[in-house]
Amino acid sequence: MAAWLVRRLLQAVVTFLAVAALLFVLMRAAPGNPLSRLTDDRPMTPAEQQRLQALFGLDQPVSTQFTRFAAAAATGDFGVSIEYYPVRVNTLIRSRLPASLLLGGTVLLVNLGLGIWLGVLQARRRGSSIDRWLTRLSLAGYAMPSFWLALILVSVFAIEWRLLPAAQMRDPLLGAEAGWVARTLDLLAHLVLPVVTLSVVTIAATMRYQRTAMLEVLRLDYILAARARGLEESAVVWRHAWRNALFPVLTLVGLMLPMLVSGSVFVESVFAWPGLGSLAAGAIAARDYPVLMATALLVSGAVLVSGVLTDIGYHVLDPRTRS
Amino acid sequence: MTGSLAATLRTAWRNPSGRTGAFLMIGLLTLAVVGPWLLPDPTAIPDLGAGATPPSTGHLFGTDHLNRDLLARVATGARISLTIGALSVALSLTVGTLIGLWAGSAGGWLDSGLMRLVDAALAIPRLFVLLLLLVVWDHVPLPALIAVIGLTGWFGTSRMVRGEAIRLRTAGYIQAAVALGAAPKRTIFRHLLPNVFGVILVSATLGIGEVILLEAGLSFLGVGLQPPTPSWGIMVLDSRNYFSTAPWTLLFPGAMILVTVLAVNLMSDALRAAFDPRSA
Amino acid sequence: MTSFRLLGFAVLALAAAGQARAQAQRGHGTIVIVIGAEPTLPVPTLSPNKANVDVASLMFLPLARPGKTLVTTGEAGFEPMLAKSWTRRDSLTLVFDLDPRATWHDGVPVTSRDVVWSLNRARDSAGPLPYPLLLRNLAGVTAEGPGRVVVTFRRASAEQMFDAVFHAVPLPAHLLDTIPPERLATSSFSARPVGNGPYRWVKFEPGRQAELAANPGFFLGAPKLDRVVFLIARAGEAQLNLILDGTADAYEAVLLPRQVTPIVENPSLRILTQPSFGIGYLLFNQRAPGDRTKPHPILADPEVRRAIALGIDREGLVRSVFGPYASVTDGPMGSASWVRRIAPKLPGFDPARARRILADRGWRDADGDGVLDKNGTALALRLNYPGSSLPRVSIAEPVQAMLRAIGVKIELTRLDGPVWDDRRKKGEFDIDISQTTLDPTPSGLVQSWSCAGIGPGGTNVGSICNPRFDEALHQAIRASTDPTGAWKSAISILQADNPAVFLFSPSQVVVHHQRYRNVSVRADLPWSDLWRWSVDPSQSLARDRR
Repeated sequence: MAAWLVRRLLQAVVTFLAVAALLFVLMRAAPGNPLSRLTDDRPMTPAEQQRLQALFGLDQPVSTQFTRFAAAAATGDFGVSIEYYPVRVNTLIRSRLPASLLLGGTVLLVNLGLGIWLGVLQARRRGSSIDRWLTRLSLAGYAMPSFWLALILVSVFAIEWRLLPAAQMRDPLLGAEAGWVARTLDLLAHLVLPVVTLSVVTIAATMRYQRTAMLEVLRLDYILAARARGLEESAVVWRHAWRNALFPVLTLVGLMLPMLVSGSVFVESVFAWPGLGSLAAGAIAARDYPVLMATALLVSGAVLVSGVLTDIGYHVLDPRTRS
Repeated sequence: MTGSLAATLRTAWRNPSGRTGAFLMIGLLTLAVVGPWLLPDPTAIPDLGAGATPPSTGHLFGTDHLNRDLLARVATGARISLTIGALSVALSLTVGTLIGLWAGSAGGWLDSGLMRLVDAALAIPRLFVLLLLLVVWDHVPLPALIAVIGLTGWFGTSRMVRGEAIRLRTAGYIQAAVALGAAPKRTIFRHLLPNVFGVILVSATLGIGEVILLEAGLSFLGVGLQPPTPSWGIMVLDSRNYFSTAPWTLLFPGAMILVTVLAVNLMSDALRAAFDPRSA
Repeated sequence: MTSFRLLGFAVLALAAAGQARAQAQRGHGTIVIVIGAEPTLPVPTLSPNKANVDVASLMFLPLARPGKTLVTTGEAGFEPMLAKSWTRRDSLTLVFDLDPRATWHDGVPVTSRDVVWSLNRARDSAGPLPYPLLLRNLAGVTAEGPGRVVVTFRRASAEQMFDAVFHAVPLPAHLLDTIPPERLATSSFSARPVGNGPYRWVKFEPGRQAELAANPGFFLGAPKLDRVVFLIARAGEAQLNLILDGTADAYEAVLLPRQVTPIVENPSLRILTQPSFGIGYLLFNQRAPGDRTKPHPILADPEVRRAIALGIDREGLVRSVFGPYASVTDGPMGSASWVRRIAPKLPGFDPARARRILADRGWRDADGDGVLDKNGTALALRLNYPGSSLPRVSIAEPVQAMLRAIGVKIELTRLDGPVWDDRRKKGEFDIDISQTTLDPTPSGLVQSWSCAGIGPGGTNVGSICNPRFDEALHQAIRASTDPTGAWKSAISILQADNPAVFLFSPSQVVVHHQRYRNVSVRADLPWSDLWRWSVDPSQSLARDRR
């Protein structure tokens, strides 16, 4: 086990380094100059260009820039943002991460709660009209462009009916003096539309996984035996079958975990949600290299870590994969 | 994965959802193929001052903010979106299958090297890569767009196919064939393709939906095909401020994306059920 | 309190009522303003970013500012700010007397030392552009006692006063003179700026908002709104939605009619439109794309440029895209610019004449494909524009259709923002849809439209160079008495040359909640008069009484 884990971790580290190098090259190969914005409409003079390049270390050869970046990044320092100069990238990330974690975490919870429950329901009523319609509806949600759905939801629920706030993460005037109850309610109100949008477009996968896994288990002998013993149906389903059908869903959780940090570029943009997705989108639009690198690496890192966690989960839960 | 392909397709067709999906797709294909011939020029601006007009008998879907016929634009958009979807998925499946088979049958350092590469590629957000690759062109030619989308989409397929290949390599009947003197690689290829066909077909149909959404998303970010080419993504993007004044300009293009991807997903779902009846 | 609504409205209503009672006496009003970028460096002269400039304009005052008419020449039309008065000693010397009541937010009086230090720092030729360039007519800045500043100029001009007060806003020398210039941006001062204006810095929450509070001791009168929150939303639709759902109270934007409709229909919102310093135009590149040593194969011919300009229905285009929220402009000046009132009108839409001119220059449709050609070259041009700009996106396709009608083929090139910017600055384009906000002074034309503006540091990216125009412009800028005649002749020379198709000057649109009174907005710095705004007590909301 220990040897396996070490090998797996080493693999992940190597992959991560490859990703970092790949991203760096890709980013530099794309046209567009991040410094250009700092002088507004005006093309830079050679002296200005030199000064600004030196300020951000862009005057070095790309290979030197990469080694410098990698050395600093290894100590957890991603440098200074160009667009938000003089703010440090770490400060930016730290200020945006909670919003992404909150949004992604809530969507994950909805997926795991509602999605699993619906998937189990479908498996129990296999072939019924409920089963069929849940599949169709979830697939319809899966087929919606998230930004389109977001635009429509805002227009209807926030602007026409005025039921929910349209954008941002909290009421700008609700200070610390408002008390935690009011602040939590306010936060929840702001969460509703983005969470609904993202859940509608992702929940189909969870339902599908859970339904399939549950069907596999429900036909096994021990379930038939449990039923034959006259156990209550809900006990059979949840206590006996579901526990074993949860296993494949683990893979899915692994796939969805990166959502915690990646956010969604489109949904965050429509809702002005101050998360990492909108930070990354802005960084692309400004070619803010340091921010771009940091956000992309964060997402890639999350994907790799989730992969390792999933593998460990399998390893612990399923002795067969240990061979 | 039993029965012939024809039988599987027949099973999928008997599935009401699958049939609905197929009918929707036939309708969309008809619109994409025939529509642009019958409908007005999607780039013509008959009366700039008139702006967006609601659906009427003259313009079934109404007109957009430049007074262009929305149905004609949506139909031309269907042609573009479906072409991009079908071709780029075909490309990524071909590449993915070949590399998966290669890695799976070769094994050893080649296999692990390729799979680490796939790990790395899967860890980078695809949208990000596409954005950075596509800004290189001012006018992204359609083949280039298809190639770039196709070549960034094969990683998952290759991993899946490799898994199947490894499973088969250790399967009794292949080992028996090899023992009887068959060349191992060719045997694997010959037996493997029919076996992974189901996996590939399902991931193909799902992939088309993904690609259409991706193209729309790219256009939404301002990268991709150039106007006045009516890509669905560009149409949604350009009408995003219209929901209160001319909702049809936002609703129709978005609904087209929804219907197309849904049709593909329904068919994919029926196919998957037909290939693997236990999960139906 | 608009955001709770459905969820826990009752709970909050109770809480809010209690709070409101307790604090009813203290405040006067609140305003939440939506902005599109983060004010990470809200200190004058450190960042050209609009969010920074807007926020800084509430905390830092200039010596004086152009009056209501925004005329930038002479001295009489200016409004006193930090300087309570000024006198002219001779044709090259202006003397400013500071308002003795003016203090920094830390209580230290504003003195001549601050002004001299700030102007000299900005003027320093080693410092960052564009200030040394903008202040190049200043010969010296000295103090005469703590309350008097003497500014001397290199040459006589009608805009000496403007040059001295507009560009470099004074900073607190007592806090900054120990900080080296290159450290200023990263200093603790920049994180918590200390100004002298009606509002003082409270806090900044990255990604969310920046908050300012009234400076009750403000020497021109205590602000009536005691709290200003700048709420950040990058996307245009999110900004508009925050206004429509009542979260925010005001914002300033270039708006298209389709965005305005829901605002007009909302009874609690008011729209204020006024002329602006913004302009939009199709800039012709007179040099070969990517090679400034060669003339442009098609556009170097002024007659072709003239034909293209005549082939575009400017009036119809601007009406259909902007409705009432922009006006057609006849030259490189915004509708708020005083020069605009004297500029001659450009010839109107005349496609027949455009075709004739092109035919005279040898452009004919030899192969019958609808596109004119000459010696085997088609009259085909690329039109570059950034995909992120809604007005420009809306203009591009109609322009293409209009020019198709006169046989000119336009290839639309909608680019990712940084790529577009790169192309424009490197001169890699045929025609560029440019949109910019100008300074109130017409003297800025030197940078964009004269031979002197070609190359690094200048903004003449289309390589426009007409010595006759340069001479006329020079005379207009130098004119120390009434410069209107000189400006008129300079503009008409520029127009005749057709360096661009001048299209529109968008209105400055400010949307605000109807409960505000004494609303006044300036075209140069929209929020700088906010301290005069007040809330109608009979209409005040919970957010005003805290």
